[in-house]
Amino acid sequence: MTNDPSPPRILSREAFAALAAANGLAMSEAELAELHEAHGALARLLTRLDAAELRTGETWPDSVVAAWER
Amino acid sequence: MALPFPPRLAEAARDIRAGRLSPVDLTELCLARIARHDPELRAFLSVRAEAARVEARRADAEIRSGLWRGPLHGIPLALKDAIDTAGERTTIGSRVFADRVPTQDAELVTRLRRAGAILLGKLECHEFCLGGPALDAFAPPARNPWNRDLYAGGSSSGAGVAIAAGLCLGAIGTDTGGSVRIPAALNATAGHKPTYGLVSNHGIHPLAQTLDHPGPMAWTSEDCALILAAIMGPDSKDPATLGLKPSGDVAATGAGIAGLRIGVVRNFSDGPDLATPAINANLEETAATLARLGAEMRDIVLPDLWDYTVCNTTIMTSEAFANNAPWLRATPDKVSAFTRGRMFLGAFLRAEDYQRARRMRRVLIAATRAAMAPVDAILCAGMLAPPAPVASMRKFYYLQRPLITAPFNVTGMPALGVCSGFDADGLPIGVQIAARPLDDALVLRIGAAYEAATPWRERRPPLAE
Repeated sequence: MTNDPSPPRILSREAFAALAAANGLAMSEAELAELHEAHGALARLLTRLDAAELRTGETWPDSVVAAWER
Repeated sequence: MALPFPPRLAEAARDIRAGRLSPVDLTELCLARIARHDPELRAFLSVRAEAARVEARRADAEIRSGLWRGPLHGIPLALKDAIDTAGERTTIGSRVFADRVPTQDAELVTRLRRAGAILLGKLECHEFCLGGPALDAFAPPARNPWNRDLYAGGSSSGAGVAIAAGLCLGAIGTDTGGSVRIPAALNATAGHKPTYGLVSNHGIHPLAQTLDHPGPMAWTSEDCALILAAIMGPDSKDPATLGLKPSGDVAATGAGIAGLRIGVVRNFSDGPDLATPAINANLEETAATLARLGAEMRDIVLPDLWDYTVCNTTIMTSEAFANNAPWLRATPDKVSAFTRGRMFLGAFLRAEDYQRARRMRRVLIAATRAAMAPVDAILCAGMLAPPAPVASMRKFYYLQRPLITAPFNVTGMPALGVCSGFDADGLPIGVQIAARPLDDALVLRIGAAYEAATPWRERRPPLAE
């Protein structure tokens, strides 16, 4: 258990549909199913963002030169 | 009667300045080629023939009177239809904006007009610079002139097709994950993604502002350099533009590459589920050519291509939804199924994943910088596979394999795509040349040296008479 209050990255079909509706996104059932599957594929890729060094610290500074000069 | 291909931009510029070529004749040749070939290729969304003729006559008169504005004076170019032109329709490839007429030019259009360029019209782009190739889009995708059934790349697809087919001498595209370099590779043109912030994004529909790079596309690296020189520089209307100049003279591409240290990045393309053997062999041949030209080739290893890809996709998908949410919610039926799905995906990404991706961007820049310490520039493949048949392409194909152009959007480095040969089926192969931020002149110089030493710029796609 963690005390992380954010929603889980992987969503059930029901939770995904509820979030789509809350977001005001209109789509057919078939589109929703396809999008849910794609979201699952993307969520698996996003485990690359779970490294400890990415949980805190500075982000992109909106200047490529500033980023390279650090 | 067959219409000849137009000369390369740099060659045309020299001839116009010397009075050997008239901007009027050159513009008429491009308009005739558009009329002949574009009904099949679909590269243009709109052609401003009469306005272009007026601009050509003005350029002709100015040059005859001794007012030569520079290498773009009298040169026919075209713009991706995500770039605003005052008083002329700009659709971003979408039914949502089918009747949108901006009141202001994008900053880079202002600079092109000031340089005396002739604007032929607006080029097909994937909807909102993301949603292609969608057969149900406002405009169907431009067709690859090397094989009409195959993907022409995107999202600056019209630009790649128009240049390869000789419908214009150069164009401006935009590149958020590879949208200048991918169509360059698939159509056998050159395409330069400048250093992030070197060219203003003002007046260009944003896909993902922290990754968006407008850039020149043309038949050669030298041609791209001449366009870049005209459009780059600080712009108070785009706070992300840099107040710094590139190192060296961008337009001076003829100095050769003897003594340069170039790192070959094989880990982006050579491995399970990465590039085809033909593409990896082409990378080795390209490296050997650069070595023959006097460059010192070294091996370097950059971070895993999937890391750059995930970083790019997370940021792009998040920002793209945020930028386009109003019309995605209000008029989803006006948006193609491809675009709708890809954009909607951004609504389900967590804020902390977006923030982690931005941190990952800094980590990847640091790792890239460290790996590049022993070299001046790097060489890597420009594609992982030949283009797929358009009819076979799926909405979320990009989640199945890494994107070899993404590293340079993430790092903001200048990256040039050049044609490096043709495969057994006669389809183009491309490589990328990249360097540290602001070293745009260096990558363009390497590209120009490579093109001068190889025969690939002599081959044009087969077009119907």
